[in-house]
Amino acid sequence: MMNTDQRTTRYAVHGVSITVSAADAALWSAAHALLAAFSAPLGGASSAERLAITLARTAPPDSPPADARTWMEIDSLRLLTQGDASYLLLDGEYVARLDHVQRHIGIWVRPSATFDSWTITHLVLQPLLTEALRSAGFVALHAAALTYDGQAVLFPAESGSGKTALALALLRGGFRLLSDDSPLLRREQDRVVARAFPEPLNVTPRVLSWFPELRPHLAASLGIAGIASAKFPVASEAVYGDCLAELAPVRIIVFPEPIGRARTHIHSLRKQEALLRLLPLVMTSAQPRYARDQFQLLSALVRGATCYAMDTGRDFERLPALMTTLLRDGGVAERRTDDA
Amino acid sequence: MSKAAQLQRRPRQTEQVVASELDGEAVLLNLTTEEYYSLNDVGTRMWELTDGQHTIGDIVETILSEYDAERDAVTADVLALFDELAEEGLITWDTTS
Repeated sequence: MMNTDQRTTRYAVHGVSITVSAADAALWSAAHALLAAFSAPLGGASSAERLAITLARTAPPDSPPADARTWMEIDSLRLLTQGDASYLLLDGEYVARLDHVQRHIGIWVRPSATFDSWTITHLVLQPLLTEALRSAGFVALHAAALTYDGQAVLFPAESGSGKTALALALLRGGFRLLSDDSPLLRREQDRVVARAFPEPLNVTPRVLSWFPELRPHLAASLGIAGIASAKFPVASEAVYGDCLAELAPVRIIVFPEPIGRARTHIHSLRKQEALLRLLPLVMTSAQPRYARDQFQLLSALVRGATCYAMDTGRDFERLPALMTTLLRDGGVAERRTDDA
Repeated sequence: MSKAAQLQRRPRQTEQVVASELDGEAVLLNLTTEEYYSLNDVGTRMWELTDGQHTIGDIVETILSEYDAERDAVTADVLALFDELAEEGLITWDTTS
């Protein structure tokens, strides 16, 4: 019987041509949630690099080899590898495989499975896509990335460190957004560039209180107020207009500390310290050659940028000017304040 | 092992380590264990000399000539650092004479 729900869509992620085939609308939505911004071609017409992603509503056709070794384990997620393949287990159940040689990601969600769409998008597809994109030279970094006058500033930080608020403060100030969570870094022509990986901004009620201009743009179906842990998706272009960038060389790196004071304080950071802070913010790789490439890319990134640490205050209105000054000067700036 | 024998050994960086030197300070990554390490400027200088050609004794002499420190302290520091690097799988001892 022909599966009339089957959907196939093409995306272009900075020169990598990705074809997604999903068994039904729900599985397609899970993939599209990650790749939506790439439906229109980005990064040029070259499609020498290809990747196929299939999402099926069946059990996997194989099992991970008995001698596969674990290369990553975080909470319910476990990644095994053997040869050129990686196998992803969620809560102990084998659900996905990346084959580097075949350039294929297979995701199998049994009809009885209880994971939600967010889990498929962010815990299954995103890690395997990150790993697959390494062959095209990309490293995904946990960071907010924005541009001004064609130069990028990175704010590397874990989730919950206030990256979204930083991004919004700069968008207000005329900066353009590459990503609020995971830009793609790559060495291009002797410098490290950050390329866009846009997703809707996930905004907490607290952030909403600081940026009330977002309120009219929240999805009408999500009107749940007062739940502190709820996050609301907001498309930045809906609020700030034409505010997205495609790529820019990284000029400054600013490590933000979570918001806890009134006034922002920025101080310079030694490059060794910057590299040490970056290393926990990238995913490890199953393949030693990619782990080596990633380390060398991060070294080049730090070498080519001026690095700072920032105690982020609630003075968001000052942030754009602070950042444009750093970008323009490119030099060491010790800004001491007397505020606690 | 006698002190003399220790000074004769030649440390060599292992295949599984990749290093980055930034403004005279190094970060080392062990690709096998995924552990990473930082070295200060003196440790970084010692790392630069870890090529299987220089003995521990050579490294001690070089540090003495470049830094203002006492021989006993430098010797102890060099031996301690290389013991630790060996334990972490970042160096091996070159056995060729």
